[in-house]
Amino acid sequence: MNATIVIQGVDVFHGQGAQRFHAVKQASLSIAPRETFGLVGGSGSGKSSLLRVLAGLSPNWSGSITMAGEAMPPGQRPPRAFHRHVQMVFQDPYASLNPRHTVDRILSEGLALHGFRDAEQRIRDVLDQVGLGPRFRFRYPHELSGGQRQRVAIARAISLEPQILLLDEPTSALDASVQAEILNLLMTIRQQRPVTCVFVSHDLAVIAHICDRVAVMQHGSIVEHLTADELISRQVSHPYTRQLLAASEGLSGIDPAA
Amino acid sequence: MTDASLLDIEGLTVSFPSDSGRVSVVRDFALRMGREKIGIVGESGSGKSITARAILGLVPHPGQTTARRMQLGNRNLLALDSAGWRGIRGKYAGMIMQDPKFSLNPVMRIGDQITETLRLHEKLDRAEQRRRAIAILQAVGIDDPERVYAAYPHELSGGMGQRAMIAAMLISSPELIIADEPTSALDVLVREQVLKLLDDLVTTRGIGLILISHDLPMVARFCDRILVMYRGRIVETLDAHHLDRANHPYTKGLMACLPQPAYRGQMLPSLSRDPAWEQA
Ligand SMILES: Nc1ncnc2c1ncn2[C@@H]1O[C@H](COP(=O)(O)OP(=O)(O)O)[C@@H](O)[C@H]1O
Ligand SMILES: Nc1ncnc2c1ncn2[C@@H]1O[C@H](COP(=O)(O)OP(=O)(O)O)[C@@H](O)[C@H]1O
Ligand SMILES: [Mg+2]
Ligand SMILES: [Mg+2]
Repeated sequence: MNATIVIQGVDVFHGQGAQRFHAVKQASLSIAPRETFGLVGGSGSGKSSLLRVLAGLSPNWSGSITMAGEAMPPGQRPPRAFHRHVQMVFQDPYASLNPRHTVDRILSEGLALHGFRDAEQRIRDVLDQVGLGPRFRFRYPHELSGGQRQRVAIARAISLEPQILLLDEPTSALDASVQAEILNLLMTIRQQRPVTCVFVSHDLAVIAHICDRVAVMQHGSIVEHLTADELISRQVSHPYTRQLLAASEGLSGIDPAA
Repeated sequence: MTDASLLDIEGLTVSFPSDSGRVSVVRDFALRMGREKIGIVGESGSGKSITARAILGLVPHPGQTTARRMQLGNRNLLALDSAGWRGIRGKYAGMIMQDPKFSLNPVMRIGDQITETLRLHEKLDRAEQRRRAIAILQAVGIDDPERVYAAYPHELSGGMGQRAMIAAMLISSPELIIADEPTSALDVLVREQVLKLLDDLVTTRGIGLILISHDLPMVARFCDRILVMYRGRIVETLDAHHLDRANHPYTKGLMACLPQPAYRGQMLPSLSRDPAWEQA
């Protein structure tokens, strides 16, 4: 099957031995090229744990994962080239950017690490693409607003032209108007590049807006798979998904009467 | 008490010194409210928290608060010294903050934190204090109040911690509660439960509530009236049941940029700011 991400029977753990915590249980899903796939669930449901495994950031898992045609062996850190193709954007743009580095340095480090020779041109292009432009190039993170920092984090991720973009609550810390700008930016990137996305959020309205399909997670398990259309028209069967929908009535733009 | 006489504020301004002189971060704020539920919404930095702190005399140094009028019931808040403020806070008005991890004292048992205001404002023996604390923990929907009474904050989940905060607030039967982003740090499902609880309690006990959030639809579900703040000023007051009657372009923009099925997969309208919004 021609899928960009295939996950089969994946368990994710934190810690070892008696302290070991089973954070994701038997997750299976498959994501098509250029699809945007949503992971939704309450806090602690295992969304970030699964995403970090896909990003090659936590080796403590078992099962089978194939990313862009390459099998990912459990228990080890992937080679550097993996990160060129798989990039992650985190919720907190304050924590994910080195406060002592300028935007220029933040962007050029990744490019140098992966052997890009046209860094100068790429930095200019990518800053334009995320709507920041050249005047932000030599600023430090503390000189930027939350939304501008998230744009830098996205610029860093897409500058490497990854095939897979993993986004962990990229708009949860932002005001509604800034969230809209970042969602629009992601839509544009998707149109311009052949990128497959996994988008984690607890906000059903955001998920319904940007995703094609969704997996609902509860206590580490995927309890339901839905298309965005099913989510919007409330054709859901698991009680936990119903609870999430009820809690987001009015909170989100999802029409409770629909 | 007549309907609009719980809190009466006029011309509230809060300023901080900066390199270029004093900067007002809250400007000419006004609110007259009774025992009703008022929402304050606005983006981050718009002055919501500083307004809340000013109402409780908690603006941090070197901030300066001025107002033409600040009355809580028949008490003139403008005339209070720091001892006077301590007499108001906890007893007549209290605040619930965003993260229980920061607003609860980490080295003090929950029970002691709840009875603290009782000890400050009323003369009750230990057993009676404990009885009242257990009762209030039950009232905020905690099933095992004895355990929570003896627990330290880190032993509680976020939702439990926030319920304990609400309990600590309610025990002295205040007239006014200000809740500043009380559920932003909570799980979506817990958020809903905590808001419903707060809503029930203030309604049945006849407490005035000021609910602060950046989430306009959420505030609209729980409040009667909504003040929309933009860069330190109230730009519009809304009837919470008629958001569709919003007039100000900022308020309209805030609603339009929320994802909704009608715009699915399309660009969301973005907010273009007009410098004129900063003038009254
Ligand atoms: N580094 C860690 N060590 C131990 N437990 C962890 C760690 N990270 C997450 N967990 C636990 O794993 C569970 C899932 O967490 P997480 O994947 O962060 O959930 P979500 O992103 O859905 O909120 C939670 O119970 C959390 O406490
Ligand atoms: N201690 C302080 N000193 C100087 N400026 C402050 C201080 N606290 C808050 N401010 C400024 O006041 C404005 C309003 O802040 P705040 O009330 O916290 O906003 P909100 O709660 O709406 O996000 C912001 O511009 C903030 O930078
Ligand atoms: Mg997470
Ligand atoms: Mg605030």
